[in-house]
Amino acid sequence: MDLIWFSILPGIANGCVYALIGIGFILVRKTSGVFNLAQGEIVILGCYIFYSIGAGLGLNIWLSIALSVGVGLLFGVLIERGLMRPLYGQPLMAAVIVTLALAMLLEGVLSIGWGGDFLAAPRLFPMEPMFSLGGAVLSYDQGAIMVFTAIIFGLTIVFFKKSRMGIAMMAVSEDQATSQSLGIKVSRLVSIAWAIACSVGFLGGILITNISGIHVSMVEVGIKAIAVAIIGGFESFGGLLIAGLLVGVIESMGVAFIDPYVGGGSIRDITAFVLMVGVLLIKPHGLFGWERIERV
Amino acid sequence: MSLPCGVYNETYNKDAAILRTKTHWVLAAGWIAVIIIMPFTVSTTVLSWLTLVGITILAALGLNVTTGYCGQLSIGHTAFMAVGAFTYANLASMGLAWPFALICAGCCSSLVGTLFGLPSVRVKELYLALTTLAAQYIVAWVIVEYFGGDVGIVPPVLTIGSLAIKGGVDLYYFCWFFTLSGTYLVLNLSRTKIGRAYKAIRDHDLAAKAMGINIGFYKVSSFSIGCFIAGIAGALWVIWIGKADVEHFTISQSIWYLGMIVVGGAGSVAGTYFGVFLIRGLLEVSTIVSGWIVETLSNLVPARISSAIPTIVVAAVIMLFIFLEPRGLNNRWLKFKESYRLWPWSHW
Repeated sequence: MDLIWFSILPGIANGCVYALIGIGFILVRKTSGVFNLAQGEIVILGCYIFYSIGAGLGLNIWLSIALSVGVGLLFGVLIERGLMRPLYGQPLMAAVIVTLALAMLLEGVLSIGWGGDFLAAPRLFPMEPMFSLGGAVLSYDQGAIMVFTAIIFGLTIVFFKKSRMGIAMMAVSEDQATSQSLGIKVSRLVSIAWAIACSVGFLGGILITNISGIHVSMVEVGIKAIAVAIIGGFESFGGLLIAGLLVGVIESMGVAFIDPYVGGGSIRDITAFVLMVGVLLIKPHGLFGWERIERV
Repeated sequence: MSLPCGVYNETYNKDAAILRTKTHWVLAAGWIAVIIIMPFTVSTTVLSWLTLVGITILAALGLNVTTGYCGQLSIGHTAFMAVGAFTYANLASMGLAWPFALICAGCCSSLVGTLFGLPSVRVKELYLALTTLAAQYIVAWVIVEYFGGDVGIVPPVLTIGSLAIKGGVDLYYFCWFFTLSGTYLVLNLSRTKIGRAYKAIRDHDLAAKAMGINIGFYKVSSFSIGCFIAGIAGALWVIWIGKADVEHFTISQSIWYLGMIVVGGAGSVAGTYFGVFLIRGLLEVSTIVSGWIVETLSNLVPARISSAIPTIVVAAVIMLFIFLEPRGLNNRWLKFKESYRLWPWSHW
């Protein structure tokens, strides 16, 4: 029983990060139809920028988080302006291949800029446990992840329910051409979607730097977030959050119960992907997605 | 395909032929002659590179069937190559004769490819790309855990009769034999019922379905065929480099293969050749140049840029091609042929 508690809490924390990064992926997908496969590299870029601002310049931690997220917003707009806008009207596959090329480009740039070593991020919170539950402890880092995720999800839901821009974005995700004819500036909204995508990617990465350190292998976090977004379907943020928590918890359970029977590696590296393939086979539109009828 | 003025296809066979005109025959014969003569004119380094190009072309042709002809974006192509590579290495180490090991490599890879292609029956285009992305991680993990991927496998040297294929000219001919066979296979495929079904699915899968094409079957079969070729290419890769290692089959490599297809022009065999030569050449040249930069400016730049610069260069070239010439080098080649034919009144 203890083992279950031990794995559920970190699992929830990891799942929150996946869901958080998944927001960006879903927004880009819904507004422009593009799958942003550079998400993994964007997450690491965020961590490195945070490292450079926080540890390199020695600024206040919270200020450096805010600055990195600001850089993320700019970076997203830059990607949309520079790489996605010239491809309007081209097949989606071209845009997806461009995001793959962007991933490669960033990989190269990151390895030139920061090298391949593990970097220790500046500490956000004290190392001691926040509270313990049934023998399992929750560290401040994990607690902070949950709190941040709750805040961001709350903000996102309010944004899409109440604000003019959020509602316009919903309209664009429903039908691009119709919303354009209603006077919504689609290209600007796509730009904003990319900005949000990059900034939540940055934020998600920064939040787990204290747990995992900063390293190129963090690219997996972003890619798992893509898997989570697929599992949740593309219709609601609640579905995304549930899918994220589900994947996080199953992953931790796998580490606790399956890993002893596996050779050297850990099942955690592939759990999300196996789940994604399984979900795509059984419910092709994700757990909470709707099937859309398509016409020739 | 437009034909020059005054040239007519009088029979169906002539219309469907791979080599349709005298110029085609001359070009094909010339190309094969160049491949045969090449080893006697270049140094061993270049020969080894040309062998690598041959293997890469074979692998890219496999991807061309899946992504180029059938339009199913596959980001996990090297995962399927890895399946072939490790099947070959494991079986050859157990003492199985090489033709059987090679065929098993292709079949295993085809099986795994079919498995990951299965979602294509139900999901569309980009979701499928993510399944193949998942394949990249899952396959690597399984190989590392259960098939000796953690340390790598060194298969015994391949022998045909008493001739040991260790490298140099022998290996070059061995690999290019498979490359040319693969080329013929893919060219042939494109003019059969299967190939036409693939192209219909690529152009519009719902329309293809309405025409009575069983799109689920054909989408999955494009994975089977593409991955079979990839498996053979993976096995050849092991023979070329002498060791099966998961490090050679990463996601970056998969993106390179995709890049070769895009740069060359998706869905054309000539384009695959152009793309592979361009990207492999760029990788080679940029590796040499960045090595030279690191050597001469060792106090200014860190040594790690020598591995990063080729990646950046290739990524930038892929992007430029998508922005400036989405149809790839093959389109330029067609335009060149057109303008050559219409000379001196060419309008391109």
